[in-house]
Order: sequence, then C-alpha cells, then structure tokens
Amino acid sequence: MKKILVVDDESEIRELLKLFLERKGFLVSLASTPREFEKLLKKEKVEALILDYTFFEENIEELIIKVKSLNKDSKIFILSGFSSEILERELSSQGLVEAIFSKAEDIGKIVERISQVLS
Amino acid sequence: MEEFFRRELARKYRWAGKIRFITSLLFFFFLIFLKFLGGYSYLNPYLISLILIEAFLNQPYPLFLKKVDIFRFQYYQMFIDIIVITWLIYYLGGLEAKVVSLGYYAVILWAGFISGKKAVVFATLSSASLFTLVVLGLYLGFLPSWGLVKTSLGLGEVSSFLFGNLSFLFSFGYFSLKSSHLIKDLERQRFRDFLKYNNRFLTVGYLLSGLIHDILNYLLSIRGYIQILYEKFGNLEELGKIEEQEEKIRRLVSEASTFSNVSEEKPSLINPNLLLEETLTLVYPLLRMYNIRVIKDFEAEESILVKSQVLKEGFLYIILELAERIGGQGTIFISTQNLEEGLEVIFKKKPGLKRRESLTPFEDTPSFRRESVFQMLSQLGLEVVEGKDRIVIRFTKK
Repeated sequence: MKKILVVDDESEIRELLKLFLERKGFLVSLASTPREFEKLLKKEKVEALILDYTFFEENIEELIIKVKSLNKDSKIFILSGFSSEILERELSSQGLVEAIFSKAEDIGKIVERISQVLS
Repeated sequence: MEEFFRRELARKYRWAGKIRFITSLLFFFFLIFLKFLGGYSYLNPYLISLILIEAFLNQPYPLFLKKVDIFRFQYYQMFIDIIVITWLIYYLGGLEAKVVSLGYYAVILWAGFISGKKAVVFATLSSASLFTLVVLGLYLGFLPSWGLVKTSLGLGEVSSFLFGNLSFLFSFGYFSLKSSHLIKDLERQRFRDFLKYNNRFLTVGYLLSGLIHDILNYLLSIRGYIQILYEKFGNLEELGKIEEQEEKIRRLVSEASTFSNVSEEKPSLINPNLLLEETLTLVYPLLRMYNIRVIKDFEAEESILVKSQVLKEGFLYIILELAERIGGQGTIFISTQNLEEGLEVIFKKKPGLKRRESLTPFEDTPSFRRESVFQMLSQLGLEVVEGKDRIVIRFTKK
C-alpha cells in the first residue's frame, strides 16, 4: 500500500484529503505543524507528499530540495490557494514537483490525478 | 520611488518646453513689432536661428531624455537658455537688451521650481558670469560691438549697469532659493499622498490575497462535502443548487486570486474577449451595486500576443474609470471588432445619474492614476485613445 503524507494547517482539508485518498487505497499520514511534518518525514518513508504552499515559512524550493534529500523517490504535489499558473512557472519548470493544484479545483479531481501519477 | 520623480521631472520639462516655445514666439513678435514701430529690425538669420534653437531645439524630446540623465537635463537646458539670452543681450545692446535680460530671472526662478539649491546657484552664477563677460567685453573693447545700436558708455554708467544687474540677479537667486523650499514642501506633500495611495492599494492587495486563500480553503472543503453528500443521498436537487452557487463563488474568487498575484508573466496569445469576460466577472458585483449595466458585443475573433494579467488590469481600470464617470444607473457598452491589421476594444458609456460619493476605491486618488494605466497599456504596445464618453484600445500587428 502506497503511503502519502498530507501537510496542511486546515483540519477540514487534511481530513477530506485523507478520506478521498484512503478510498483510492492509499495509506495517509497527516501533519498539521512544520514540526510534526519534519518528525514524520524522518520517521516514515512515503511515496508522495501533498504540501500546502503557504504552510511553510521557508522558501518552498529549498524545502522541496530538503524533502528530496530525505526521501529521494517521493513525489511531491503542491496544493495552493493562490494562482497555480504562477507557481507552475516557478516550480514545474525545474522538475521539482509532479503537479500543482489550485484550491479552486475539485478535491475529487485532485485525488484522481494524484492517483494516476502514482499508479 | 525614482520612477515617480522621473515622471514629475519629465512633466516639468514639458511645461518648461511650452513656456520656452511661447516666450520665443512672443519675442519674435516683439522684434516684428519693433520693425513696424521703430522702423528697424533685428530679424536677421542669426537672431532667427537663436529663436529657433530656443523654440524648437531646446525642448525635452523623448529622444533627448533617453540619451541623457534626466536629472541633469535641466542643467543643459538652463545653460543653453543662458547662452542664448547672453548672446541676445550682446547682439541687441540697446533698450531691448534690458527686456531680454529678464530671461535670466525666468531661468533662475525656474531652477528653483524644478530643482533646488545647486540648480539655482548654477543658474545665478552662469547668468552673472556671462552677463559680466559681455558688459566688460564691450566696455573694454575685447568684444567687437556688434549690436545695431552702438552705445559708448562711461565707467560710471557701465558700473551702475553691471552692478545693478548683478545685485538683482543675486537677490533674485536668493528669492528663488527660498521659494524652492516652499515648492519642495508642496512636492513632498504630493509624494506623501502618492505613497499613501500606493500603500493603501498594496494593503488592499495583500488583504485580498490572504482572504482569497482562506476562502478557497473553505470552498475546497465545501465541495468535498458536497461530493460526499451526493454519494450518500444521490442526485438531490438542493445539492445541485448549492453546488451551482459554490461554483459561482469559486469562479469569482479564482479570478480575484489570479488578479491579486504579482506576476512576472510572459506574453501569450489570448483572445481579448476571454480577458474581458474574466475582468467582468471581477467587476460585476461593484457594477450591480451601482446599477450599471454592461452591454457586450464581442465580434473580434483574433488572438493577440500580450501579458494577459497586465491587460486585464488595464481593462479593469478602464471599466472602473467609466463607471466613476457615470456615477450610477447607467450603461457601459463594451465591444471588440476586427480591424484590417489587428483589432480594437471599445469601452463606451451612456450617462447615468451623477452621484456624490465616489464609486471606486480610489477616492482622493491623485490624477496620475489614469496616466499610469495608459502608460502601462502603451508599454504593451497598445494604442489608447480617450474621448469624452469612450476609451478605445487598439492592437495592431505592427
């Protein structure tokens, strides 16, 4: 069973993502604080991470590089409340992330795409 | 901040250019008047060339401003002014020279208005030196007496003429320096207003951006739960209605989200009709509140290569500008049409009831807002034409 780490400070979003991802057969861990996130990242080996763009105070690129150094093969998905077009230009071009989702999209569709990438 | 000062300086140069042009023209008429009244004329090629230099060459043409440091440009201009004035005094030599010497005072006053201490000192010293050179040169004979009116003044007269004028020049320099402090205070006030306006705009932007982020978070949860409810209860009509309303909010918030982001976007091919629709999604709530209808007639089919966010921002400003002019209960017609070599977007208003309160969030906004929006659109290579009741943007393939 593939394991996904969901990182978001909004409990509703964490829970919903967990619900939808578990239905697709994924094992889901949740982190609501950066400390919790770092702890889980060191403790567990995950196939994918779903990160809220505004969750971290540090630069997202540096954070992704740090994550990749700990979990080389894990795939990273970004969930953002801001325009995904701009983020896509910043991050996708460097091949750092698998996909960037805007929070204006459907949660069902987001999970569907994540599942396609991971399958 | 520097851009603000550059714009202000360029505006002052344009003013100075107009004054210089009018003064030269008046001087030209003065010389013609002398011919008819006094029966003599200075209108020879030398003087006409000097007038032409002042009227047409010593102007803040964009080509010149691009080549030189805009903050130093005033020194070049002042220096040419002073040389021309001195030359005229030297050439005329008679009664008219006293009229022309008033030009020095205008330059010194202008130096105080446009700049400050350095420029005033420069203008006063250059005027005083060149004036002294001409008077002493003529008196001592190392400059040939070229003027049409030959005068041979005694030492007493020359001293009185020289020191009288010099003391006037220096006292005028002092006056100009003092008044420049007052002008600077007024400018500082204007700049403070500009910052206040900009900061308010930025603050609104940041607030909006943060709010949008949170609203999208909540909407994502709402949509998630709607999906769960669908699975539990099947296709309920009420759920469809909730979903429909949620979809409307989401579209509006997504548009605002894109708009509130500062982007370094690259130009892309886009149909302006689509951009207009997206802009209208943003502005509809405000227009509805003030009973302003929008009638659309989108005929243009071609796509254009532009920075879509910048253009959208321009469209938004224009719609708000027209709405502001209408005041309330009016109509804005927006049409797009194909041209032979491109297309145009026409924003037109039908008068409404003038309201006292400002419609837009730009109450007390300095007047350069419109200028900067039009400048922004021209930087995209678009032509903006503004009429009393309409604003037209043209995209040409050139």
